[in-house]
Amino acid sequence: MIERDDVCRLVEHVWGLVVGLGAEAAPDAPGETGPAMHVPVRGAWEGYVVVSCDRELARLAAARLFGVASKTVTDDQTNDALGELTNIIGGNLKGLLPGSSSLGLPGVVTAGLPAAAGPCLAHAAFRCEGLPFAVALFGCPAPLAAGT
Amino acid sequence: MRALVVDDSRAMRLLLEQLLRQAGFEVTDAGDGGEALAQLGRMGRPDVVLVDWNMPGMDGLAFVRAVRAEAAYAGLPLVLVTAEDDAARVADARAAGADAHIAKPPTPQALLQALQQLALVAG
Repeated sequence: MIERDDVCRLVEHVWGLVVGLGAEAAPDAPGETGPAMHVPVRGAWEGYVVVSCDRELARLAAARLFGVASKTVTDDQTNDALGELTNIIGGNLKGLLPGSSSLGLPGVVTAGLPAAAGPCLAHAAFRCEGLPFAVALFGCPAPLAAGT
Repeated sequence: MRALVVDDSRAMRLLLEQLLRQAGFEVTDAGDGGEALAQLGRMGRPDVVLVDWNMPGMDGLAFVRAVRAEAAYAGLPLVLVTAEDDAARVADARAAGADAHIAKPPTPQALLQALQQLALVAG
């Protein structure tokens, strides 16, 4: 349904435009090492796009987006930046999915994914500045409720 | 020239503000549609509003409809900025009254093209 190469190409493009640093697919990179955000997709395809990121890389990305030094980045700024990256990556990945669907609002992945999330359908790992991040799609066996 | 930027992400507001300032605009911002309506009341009519689609509270589409319902803002150029750039969403945006749309991530070229389309900067 969705090709890993397409995911990689799209994520590398979006990450580079938003963060201003190159990202390269790295199958050997660890998948989930730090903060993670999800964005729900509803419609013809139902599920979640999840972006997980090495903590230092998340702070570096936030620093670049906010124009501040990494050591001064707050948790709010990190969540804001990672949330917006997740929103943009999710919106662009949605174009690779079948049918018409829409995005919900990004949320922080705290104690695991939302209960509605089903199996992982696609996963791609990357490195930026030598630090890992990953993008994954989780399908949902049942339609997501509004406001999920 | 003055612009109002509406987005729940501070990082995206900063990015859009930077692009607009490079194009010669003074920029004010708001974090959602409701705050933006209040901001419009305080600042008076700007030359353009760039508004995110997906926001908590009043989202971009509801904001566009609310502005279009106010005679005082007739003809105010409204640009929806969205991570969802598919044909159905663009059609919804136009039907609600948006004049243009920009896909996220926004680029200087895409912003310039939208501003040119609205005759706010020279082509």
